[in-house]
Amino acid sequence: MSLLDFLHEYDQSLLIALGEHLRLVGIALLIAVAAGVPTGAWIARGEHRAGPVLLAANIIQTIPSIALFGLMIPILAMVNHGIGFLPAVIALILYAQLPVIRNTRVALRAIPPATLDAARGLGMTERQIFLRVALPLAAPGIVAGIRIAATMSIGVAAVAAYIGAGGLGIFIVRGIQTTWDMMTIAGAVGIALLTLVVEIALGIVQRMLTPKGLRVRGGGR
Amino acid sequence: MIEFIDVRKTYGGEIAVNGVSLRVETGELCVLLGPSGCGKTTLLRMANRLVEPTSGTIMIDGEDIMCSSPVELRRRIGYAIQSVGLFPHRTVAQNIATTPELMGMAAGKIAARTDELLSMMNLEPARYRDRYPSQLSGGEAQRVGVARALAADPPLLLMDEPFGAIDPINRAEIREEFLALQRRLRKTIIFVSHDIPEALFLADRIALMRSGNIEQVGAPPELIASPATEFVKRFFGGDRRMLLLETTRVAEMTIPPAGPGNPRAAIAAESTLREALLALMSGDGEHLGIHDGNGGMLGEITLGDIQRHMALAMRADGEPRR
Amino acid sequence: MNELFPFFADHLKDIGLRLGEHVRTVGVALLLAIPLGMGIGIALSRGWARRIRGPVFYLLGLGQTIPSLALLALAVGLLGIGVVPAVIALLLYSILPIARNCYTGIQSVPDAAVDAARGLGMTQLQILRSVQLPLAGAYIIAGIRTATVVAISAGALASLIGAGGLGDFIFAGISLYRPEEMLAGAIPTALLALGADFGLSLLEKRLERWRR
Repeated sequence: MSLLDFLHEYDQSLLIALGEHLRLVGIALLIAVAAGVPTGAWIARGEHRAGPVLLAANIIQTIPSIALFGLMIPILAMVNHGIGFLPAVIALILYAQLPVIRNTRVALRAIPPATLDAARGLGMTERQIFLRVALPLAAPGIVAGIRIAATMSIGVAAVAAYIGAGGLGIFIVRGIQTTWDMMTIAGAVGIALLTLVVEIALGIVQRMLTPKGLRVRGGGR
Repeated sequence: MIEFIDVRKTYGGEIAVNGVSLRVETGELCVLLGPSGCGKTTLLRMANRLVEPTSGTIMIDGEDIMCSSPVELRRRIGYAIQSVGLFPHRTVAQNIATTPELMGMAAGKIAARTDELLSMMNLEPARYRDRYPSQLSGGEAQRVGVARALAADPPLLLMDEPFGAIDPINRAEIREEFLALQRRLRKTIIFVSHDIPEALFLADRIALMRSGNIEQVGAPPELIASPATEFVKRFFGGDRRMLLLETTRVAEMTIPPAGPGNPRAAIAAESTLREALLALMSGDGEHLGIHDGNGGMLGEITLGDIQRHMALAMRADGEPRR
Repeated sequence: MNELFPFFADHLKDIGLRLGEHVRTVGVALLLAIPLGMGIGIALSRGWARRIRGPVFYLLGLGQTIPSLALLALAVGLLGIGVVPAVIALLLYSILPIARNCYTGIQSVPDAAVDAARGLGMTQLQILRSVQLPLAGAYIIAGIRTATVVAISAGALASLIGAGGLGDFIFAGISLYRPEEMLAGAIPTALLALGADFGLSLLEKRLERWRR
């Protein structure tokens, strides 16, 4: 049986697994961005807060994914959600914090102080400064962080198949359990391809969100 | 008209501005001059509440600035700074349109105003309108910065070394253009500088500052000829006579009526004494005619007249009055 | 939860054994990845590599985005199960951070320092050994630090392909739903990663200080 035959025969279950994978990663990223971008903006404004926040995010990031699951399951079991979607989504959200927070902070701090001083001096409100000046200028950097978080999340979501969260990792789980290499490879190739596609797609988004004024250089003289 | 009344600013124990009082008249360009750290930028930034004074009052046209919200106040005051701070993601036109947009001006009016300002700053609108800041030279960016400050036609302008970041040749050029523009617009301007020639060239009056205090306020020739303190005298350095020649206009001296016979050369009363001196030395006559710029003769001067004026102006070699 | 301590006490020897396996797999992979990664980093920093530098880093970067579980699964497909495929997968995974940081570190050495060394009559090799590499030390350690954390994490998954290690407890604990067993694997794994990260961060800081 070739890989193509396998894909043909299991196309339905592959699609379902892909859907589960995307749903898990998508929901986790949405929440992670909603939490991480404001946190990054918050620590960019007060440098004294940056140390502890980044340290905490870094510690979470350092804990291996399967170990994090192993630590979380007994805790979540107390509310009857030991395995499945919830621990997976929580782990993904936690892992995504470091790249999102760090990139948001770096991108916001890279804005020249004179630009913000001018905005204030011309009579923009703090809200207008953030929405019209800071955010557009920081957007490419923030998306770069989301991009790192996304590729990482796809990988962690694959491991989450072991705790019953479904997704493409299921093929690897079953393939290894039944020593059916074709199934393992199909899962691995699927996850690798998904990662590459998302990586490239978010790269395009990042380029689109880069203001034209930051892309053009020189000229005209 | 803007008036600072006993304005103080301290940061912790550090005194940045130490009870300064200063009145800048409507249509006047007042340069805050002084070494770095003397408090001139802090004083400027208190006028649009980018810095809040520790004590004292600032009045614009008789109204305490604390009565308006900072945002409202800033929209009524033009603001240009040394590092320009153009928004890199917005075109030149969008940058200039910032304050008019914030104030809700109609799009068509904004476009017309933008083009008008670009022409005023000697930047051809069709060529520059859609460029991004990264596509501008240093001098062009500073011109756009000034245009942006002027966009909502504010009567008062705050400028913090707005021509500081460009090379000397372009700086001289942009300065001259700016002075010509100011003669036309007659804005009330507070202009921070640490550059003596720039201050002497632009200022109606200079407020010379040191460690949070104003040492002396006056027209440029006044500060040079009769420095109030030893610091003022030393600040302008050894060539004060030369500076006086460069900053005094012929119109400021007593011009004797023309004698019999027409002098060969003549210059306008608006010229500086330095220019008069050069004309006298390069011409072959003893006398130099002075005209009012519209063909009317005011009189004629000699080298001796200039010497007498200088001697009077620099009385007692300009020893400090206190 | 209250079975945790008895379980730990009863299985102390087992935990030590698995920890040893874990460290062995990760250690061998890193021992191979460090010279390989540094070799690539040094090679790409040379003038002749200017053209291929971009593409090589792009490819390595893409390889790095492939999740470790997928890479381990592919290794099984190609090489079967056991320690060797696990070491190879971990090795591949650790090369990029080391190579990239080694390259960045060498690039960060001021041109003036290299010029001065050349002026003193050093050969290219001497410049590399006594100027560029020592000054790039903090960067290289930072790369090794990233690689180590990544390898410890992937090492826990390597239990799935028969390489042993602390992952054995976690996976057995999950499939039999025995929380105390999960924790017996998860806690030492997390501590191992955090400890390695912290230890190498100290080394990195020391080299940074020395650089100034």
